[in-house]
Amino acid sequence: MQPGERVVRTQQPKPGFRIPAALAAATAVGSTIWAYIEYAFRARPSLLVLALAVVLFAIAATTLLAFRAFFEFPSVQGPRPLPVSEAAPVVLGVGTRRGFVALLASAFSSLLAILLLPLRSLGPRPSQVLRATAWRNGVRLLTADGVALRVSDVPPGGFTPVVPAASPDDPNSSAVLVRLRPSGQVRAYSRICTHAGCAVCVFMPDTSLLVCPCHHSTFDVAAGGRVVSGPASRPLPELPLAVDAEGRLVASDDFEGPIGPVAG
Amino acid sequence: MARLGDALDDRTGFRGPLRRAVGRLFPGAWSFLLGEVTLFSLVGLLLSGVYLALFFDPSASLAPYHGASTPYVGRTLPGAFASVLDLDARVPFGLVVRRFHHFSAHLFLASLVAHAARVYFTGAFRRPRDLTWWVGLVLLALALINGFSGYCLPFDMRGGTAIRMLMTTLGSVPWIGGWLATLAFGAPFPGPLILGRLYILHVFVGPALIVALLGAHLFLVIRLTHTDHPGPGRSERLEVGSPLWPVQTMRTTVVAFLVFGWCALMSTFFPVEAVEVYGPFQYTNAYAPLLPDWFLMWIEGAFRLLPRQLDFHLIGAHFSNPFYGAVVLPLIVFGGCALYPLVDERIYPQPLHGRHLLESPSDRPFRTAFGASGLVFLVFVSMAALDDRAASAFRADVWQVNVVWGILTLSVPPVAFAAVYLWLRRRRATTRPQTFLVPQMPARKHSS
Amino acid sequence: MELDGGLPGMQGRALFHTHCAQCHGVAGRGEYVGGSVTAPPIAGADAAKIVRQVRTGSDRMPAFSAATISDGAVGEIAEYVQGGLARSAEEAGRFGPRALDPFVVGMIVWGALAMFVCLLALLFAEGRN
Repeated sequence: MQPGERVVRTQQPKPGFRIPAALAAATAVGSTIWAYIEYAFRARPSLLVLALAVVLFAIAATTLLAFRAFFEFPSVQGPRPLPVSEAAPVVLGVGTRRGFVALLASAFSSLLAILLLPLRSLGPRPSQVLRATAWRNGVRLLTADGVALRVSDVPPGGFTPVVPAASPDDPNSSAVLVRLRPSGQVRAYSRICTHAGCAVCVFMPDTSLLVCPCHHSTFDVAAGGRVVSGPASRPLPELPLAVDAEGRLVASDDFEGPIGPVAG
Repeated sequence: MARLGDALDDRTGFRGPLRRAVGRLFPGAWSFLLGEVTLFSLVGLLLSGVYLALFFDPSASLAPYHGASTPYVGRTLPGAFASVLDLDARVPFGLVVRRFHHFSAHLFLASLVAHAARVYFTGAFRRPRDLTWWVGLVLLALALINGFSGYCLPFDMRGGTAIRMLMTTLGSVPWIGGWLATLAFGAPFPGPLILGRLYILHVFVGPALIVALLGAHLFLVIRLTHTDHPGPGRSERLEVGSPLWPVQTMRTTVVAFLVFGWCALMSTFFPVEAVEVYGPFQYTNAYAPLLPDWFLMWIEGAFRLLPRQLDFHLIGAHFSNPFYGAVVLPLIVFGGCALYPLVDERIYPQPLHGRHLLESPSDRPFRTAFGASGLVFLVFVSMAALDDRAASAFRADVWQVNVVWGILTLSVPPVAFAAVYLWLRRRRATTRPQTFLVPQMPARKHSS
Repeated sequence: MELDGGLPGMQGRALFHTHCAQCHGVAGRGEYVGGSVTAPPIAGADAAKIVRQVRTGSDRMPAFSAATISDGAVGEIAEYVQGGLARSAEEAGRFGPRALDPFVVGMIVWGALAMFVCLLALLFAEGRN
């Protein structure tokens, strides 16, 4: 005990806990053996973990019961070592130190500012990473298997993910092609939701709606990707289409508007 | 043994500080053990995490899979996903340790919140313990971030979608968002870099910061002495408790094994993050219920509740739903928690020496009502993430569900605040006032 | 970028994930789609019916032509839905895919914490240990 402390209450050791402590210890040993058997011979993960859980609980019980069986349990009254001072909670230095601290702070912050400038030249530009796609006039629409599409390949009410022939693996260029049921019109849109960037991959043919499964932003296919409901605030960018000399679908331009969620 | 002790003492001088530390007193109330539950969940995380890190491959690059998980043999999979499949199917204890890691993480966050709630409702955050409170808030933020990066790592559909949310959140910051997202990812989403970076954050930076700040937190708790409920022998000047050795050590050991046992028990019965069912991440795809883990559902709910009409432009910056939900809302919540000790001091001014004894929640109507309504708000916002379940159940459109739930989320917390506040005010007026100074018990010599 | 499906005859799961899981859910139990539409559960449905439904679509379901999903692929999907889909939900854990649900995991965790705290309160009540 420290100086100034005194015992206010002692719980005496309780010999009656010795047998339960021994039983708990035996359980710990026994379930360790069981765990080993499960691991070495049967390899059933769930029973192995269960055995492990029993071991751990048994160790906890053994510790508690053995301690109560053999040791004293004092409650001690002692002074609180740190008197709370009357000082205000502000931490700034006073007097001449303030100027020094200010100088140091301005030196470090200007160093930080200088460090930030070269960061802008590291790596690609945001427009490249977030906006650039591979769609240009004349780029063919391919399915995921690399098949160039004709209009007749998409039935009314049909839905196909498409990629540009120029670079099929470019993530920013992924698009969907749908054929409206009533009018037979073929429209293509960016697949990247303008809310948070999930893939817009649900099409409801009766209402001509493209829905994003993540937060249920709904876009009207017949009305140029206009947002019908949901948290997206920009319409889904449309890919203008044309048909080339061989009857395959091609893009006639890049997407009508920036793809994906707003940035900055 | 004594000579070994002498040799060490010669070189480190540890005996003095050890003797002082060992004599520190700790009150024995059970509610003070919630922090220890958090501590040992963290220990479980660190130990199981080391084992998992030995086998995990933090790479998004595709390769044909020839491992032990039969449904996936021959498929082209990202390296991270394949390594998790092998952890589950082939690595000895892999599935066990993975489940243990996940449940330790869940228990870590749940007990952290419970511990913070205990501290809040009993007033243990008051000066001089407001620094401890602020360090604890930073620990909570770090825990949330590490939990987030943790379930991104397997790069299954849930993880990859979470990474997409990260990019959107970074990008939504006004004026600098584009630069932030580009710096973090370096390529169009998903890109080859982000998984490795999240891995380093999750395995190295996060745990290092958490352990360091936890050390600071524990140092402050011990230095300022533990608070305690009013009772015989206790006052603002005197504390009653059991010494660190042997009694508190025993309690701590028991709690440690109970925590490990509890995580193991949950791992036995419940599957976790079964990546085999979700499948590897494909950016061209999204499933209907891709939810984050429960500790981030409040942000997901905010995404769904906040209407798009709140979006606007200002001097070349877009202010959008992801910014409100994933940046502004957490800033408000954490900022509110951080500023609260200063507010509390104005509302319940106390003499500076009257802060070591805890207060009953029913004696502090404003504090209790504010905390209760804050928790109610967070629960409502989290439940908003289930709007599609509700839409299916009621055969309604999801925006209708969101309008109704949004109205409830805005109206129920203030009502809860008023109800709790008025009820406690009325109770306080009719019961005895609390005294801080309790007469000391006369000292009794214990009989041996 | 759709990932290669694996060995022939084993591609059903991959194709299901790519084309069907968005609406019908990872476990084939049917999820909310949009508007007032909820996709129906399909796990265990008849393979021939599935092939027809995929090709022709319906009011709420788009039609997938041979350019999008080849005939072989549709066959594999149908086989998987009829057989393996329900099994894969089981192999994820005893309680099926709902147990993966993060909301359910959250409830389990908080319930477990509540029970754990009761245990602590019992063991360490005032003056007991």
